[in-house]
Amino acid sequence: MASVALSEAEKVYIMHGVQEDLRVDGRGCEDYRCVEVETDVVSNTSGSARVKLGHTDILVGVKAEMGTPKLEKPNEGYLEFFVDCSANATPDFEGRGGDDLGTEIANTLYRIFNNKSSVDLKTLCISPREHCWVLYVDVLLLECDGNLFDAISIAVKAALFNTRIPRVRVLEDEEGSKDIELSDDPYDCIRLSVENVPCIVTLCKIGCRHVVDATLQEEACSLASLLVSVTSKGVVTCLRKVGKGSLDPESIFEMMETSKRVGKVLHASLQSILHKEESLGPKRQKVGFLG
Amino acid sequence: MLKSKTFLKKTRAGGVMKIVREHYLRDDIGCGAAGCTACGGAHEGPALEPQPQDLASSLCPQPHYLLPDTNVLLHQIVSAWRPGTWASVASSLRLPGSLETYVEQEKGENANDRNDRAIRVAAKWYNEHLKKMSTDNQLQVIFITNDRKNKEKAVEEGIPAFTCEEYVKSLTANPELIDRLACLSEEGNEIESGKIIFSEHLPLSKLQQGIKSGTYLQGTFRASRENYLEATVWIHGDNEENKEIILQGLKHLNRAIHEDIVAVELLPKSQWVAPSSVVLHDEGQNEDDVEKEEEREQMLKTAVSEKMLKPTGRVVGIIKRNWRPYCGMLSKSDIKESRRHLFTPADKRIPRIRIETRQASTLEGRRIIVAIDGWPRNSRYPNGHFVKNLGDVGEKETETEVLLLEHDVPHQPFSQAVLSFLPKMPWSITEKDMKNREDLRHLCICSVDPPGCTDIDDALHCRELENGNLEVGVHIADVSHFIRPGNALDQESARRGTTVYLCEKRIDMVPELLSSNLCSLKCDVDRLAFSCIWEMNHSAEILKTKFTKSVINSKASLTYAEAQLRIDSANIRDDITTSLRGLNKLAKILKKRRIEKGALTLSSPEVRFHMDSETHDPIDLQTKELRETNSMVEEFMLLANISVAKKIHEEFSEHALLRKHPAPPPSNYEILVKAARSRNLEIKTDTAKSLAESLDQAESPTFPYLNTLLRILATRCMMQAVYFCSGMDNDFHHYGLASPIYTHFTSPIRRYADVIVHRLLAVAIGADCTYPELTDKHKLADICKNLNYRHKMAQYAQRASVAFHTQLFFKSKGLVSEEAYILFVRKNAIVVLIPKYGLEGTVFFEEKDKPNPRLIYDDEIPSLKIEDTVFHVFDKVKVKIMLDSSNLQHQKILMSLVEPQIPGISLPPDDISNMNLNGPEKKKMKLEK
Repeated sequence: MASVALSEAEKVYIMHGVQEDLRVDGRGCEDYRCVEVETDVVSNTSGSARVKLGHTDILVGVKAEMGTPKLEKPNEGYLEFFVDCSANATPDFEGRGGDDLGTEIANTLYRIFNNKSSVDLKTLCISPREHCWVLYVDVLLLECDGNLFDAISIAVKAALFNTRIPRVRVLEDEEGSKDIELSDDPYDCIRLSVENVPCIVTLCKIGCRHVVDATLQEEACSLASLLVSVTSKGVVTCLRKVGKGSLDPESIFEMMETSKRVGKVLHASLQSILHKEESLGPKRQKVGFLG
Repeated sequence: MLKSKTFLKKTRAGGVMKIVREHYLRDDIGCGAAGCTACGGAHEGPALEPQPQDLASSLCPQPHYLLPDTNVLLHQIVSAWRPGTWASVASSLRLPGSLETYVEQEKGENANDRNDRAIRVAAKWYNEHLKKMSTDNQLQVIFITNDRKNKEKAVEEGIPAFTCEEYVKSLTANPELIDRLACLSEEGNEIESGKIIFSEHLPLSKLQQGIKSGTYLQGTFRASRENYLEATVWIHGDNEENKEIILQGLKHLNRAIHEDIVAVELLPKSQWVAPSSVVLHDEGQNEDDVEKEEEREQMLKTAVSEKMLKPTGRVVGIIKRNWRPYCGMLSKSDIKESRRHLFTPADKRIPRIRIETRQASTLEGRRIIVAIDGWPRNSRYPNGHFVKNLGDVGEKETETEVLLLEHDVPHQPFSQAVLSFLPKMPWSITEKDMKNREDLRHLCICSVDPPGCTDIDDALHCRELENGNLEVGVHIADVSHFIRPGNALDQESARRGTTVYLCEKRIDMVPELLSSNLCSLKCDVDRLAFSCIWEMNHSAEILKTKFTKSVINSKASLTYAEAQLRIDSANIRDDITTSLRGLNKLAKILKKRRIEKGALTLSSPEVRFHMDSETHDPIDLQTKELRETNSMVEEFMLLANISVAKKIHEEFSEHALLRKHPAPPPSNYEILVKAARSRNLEIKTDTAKSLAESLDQAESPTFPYLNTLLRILATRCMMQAVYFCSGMDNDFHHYGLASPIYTHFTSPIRRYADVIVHRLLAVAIGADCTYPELTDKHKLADICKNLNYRHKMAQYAQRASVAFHTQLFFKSKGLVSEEAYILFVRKNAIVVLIPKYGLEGTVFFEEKDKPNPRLIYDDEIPSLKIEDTVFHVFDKVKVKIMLDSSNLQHQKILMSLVEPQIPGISLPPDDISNMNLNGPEKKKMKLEK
């Protein structure tokens, strides 16, 4: 991951600040930085979103393609994740440098979506055992400024919200051979319910307190952090510790409580902003990459 | 302004793809109205007339433009196009002011709704725009649509809108326009009236599924000429068996029309039928005849042995209609004042078409063109509308037009776009033209052609070299210098494919300036040529071959007869004559060698008309005379073609345009062998050489014409020679010429194939540059396909023209008796050839109203015994020739036997007067019966 050179004195300064619930950029321990979300930024995807969190910049594209259901789940579609760490984000990612991080993030995403409630995979089924929609979720890291996981999870949720899957019908003739017919109305499409799609709230242990949405500098001061994926109802779907330090159970409980609290607020504001954006309709002036 | 257009597409693999296209909207498309300042200089393309001089419409008296919607445009443009009527057609295709009139598809709106809305927006825009332009000049745009909802919406939005019918009816000045409207009644009306005769056509998606799974078969529908209740479907694909499926009965034909691509379902074996040998023509006038039809259908199902049964099917759906406008005549309805009439197409394979017209009386007895609009399920006949009146039946111009149209010969005058690529006159050879070109103006070149030929595409020379060898040159007009690849001129000539020679008319492939002037190798002018020059020894062996672009100056344009005269008169010793003598000598050797190799000398009775110079009526017929000089020119053309074929194939093994003539299957020769055997002659057909030799030996001292007859028969056994692309085929052999490789190089003025060959050769010798299409073998194969089609159609058109003129000739001549030879013997007829006229005809022995004579047909000899007289092939008979006008559309030459005399069948030589050949009287006789 992107590293930042920080002197001991700076680290002490940050740690002391956190102790007093006052962070370098003036936030409290449970405050997020300003999040910018825009959906439908890439026209040739089924759904896309771009999220900026501080200087962290994430682009997510969702592509719906026809595939065959997995054998163990014959009447469900599935999601595939791929994370590309662009060398634009940091020179460390050049060549294969970003591969490990990419795989790590993709695996985390697989884990948080690996439950029945997050996305209703049955809506992705076209005909059991034969055809289903596969959603390829491609994440592109454009810039890193701490708290990658949170930003990515927000972007994935926004992109899934934006995803429109064309409606198809399966025609069957007498002999049982099937043919797929595509609706010719471009507005006739399936939307996914993102109600239960979780977001990751990362809590960084700094000193004896923890902060949400750590910047790159703050991350450098932390020895251990906890990724908690929370749904809008405050249900924790996945928990993961990263970093080389250890956490005592006491503080883990504390951190989970914080994440539920913060997560609910995060979901609520994300949901409202997404709906607000959609209500502007197709005539919305797009910001895109030039904004 | 940039917009993106997004749509979903199903891929072939079955997936769904989202496709995004960028759309740049133009802001510089003007309204097209003359004098519009707002649109400024943004005028391009066709402009609207400043004052639309419309036919007065009672619905909107003020001047107006029309803006038809897409469907109206699609269905009515052919029928109602008249200059000035649809003034704004062109601008409606590219909606003006596209920034303001751009419409995006909205939610809940399908693509058609969007288009309708776009046109309405455009109409509205036009009206506001024109108002702004000038206040005193109240121009209006009227929106024409046949869609009820669309019209309602337009009226709501304040756009003056009418249906097509309303508008055309309001044109009080031109009542005949209404006839031309395509009658497309709405679906609703159709079901109400009459009962449903035909089963429904399946939708395309179902058909495709069925074809994939093998339940249905896809093929081309070919209606039978003889029997309107029968058709065959040629199944596409490699599967050799079941290639042809028979369809019998109206219901099974299910509204398919000749040449349509259809899907058929095979019937169970128990319902299979044999092709009937009955001749049936549709004569019904009423709709209610369906029961009668069924009776007739039963009639077809005569008892036949099981072996005769063929796969039988029924049409379940139409994959692609192949309708075109059809020539024919009106059969006026019996009911007076009726506006609905039946139209009988000249092509017997096309069903009769019901049209609505008020001018039936004026159209009667004329050749007209009708287009089909549709065939509802409850209608016995397809519906159509009148398109054009060609003229009176029997008029020479009308008939020529008809035969050109029916044979799909493009014969319109060349368009401005095509003519714009012609060189500017006065034309002369420039420095630039001389690049890569050899100056051969000093050579003594001359051309030899039939009399009256204006498109001279070949010239020859021959001279002795210092080393004692002979230099022979064939110089071909350099047409590819003038026709540059890809331009409109090239495309048009590629489409035409060949010049079509009719009896009194020539339909040029290239504009006259080229065909009769710049490309024609006339004498005493400098012309560009493509030369093929050989160095030969005196026994006509080629020592060296050279191809070059050149400039020549022909010293003489001779006719075959003139050239022959020069060669024969010993006292003429000028350069041209020496050159001709040299050529003639070499040609004789070449010919001998070619025949030794097994080239066939075939014969066909070629006829030439002597035309009256003023009326252009044929006065006399004459079979073509062949002189030595004909074969001299031919020999060198063959040699040039073969040399060029070798060269281009050597250079471009994958995409050389060649010509092949496949060997006929042995079964083709059966008729020839049997016929010869009946005269105690043996014809060997195992190779071309043995065929040629046995034909040469087949002489009968008492019957000198026999050999020609045999050769005529042999010609009939041959296959068609075709163009092909060398990369797409591996059999190059030319059977008739006994050459392993052959192409066409020598007539680029009248054949497009030669133009391509010229280009290939020019690239091969580095005299011209290549272009991508030239080296694309699929493109080349497409060109070949078109050329083969055009050549075939041109041949048919030529034959039809000869037949028509023969009729004219005999019409003026009255009844004549002539000597004839039997060419074929059929079950109930003999086919005879009259050598004097080169005319072939059939003598029938069964007539409708007469008792049938006793006929015994022997397939083996073959012979036909009538009463007590036996007819063999090649027997000499005497026939009477007359013109049968009982069917106005298909006048034909009728022949009846005079000698040998068979009581009750042949005509007594003097008894002509009681023959009744007039149509109406014949009909009366039938009625009495």
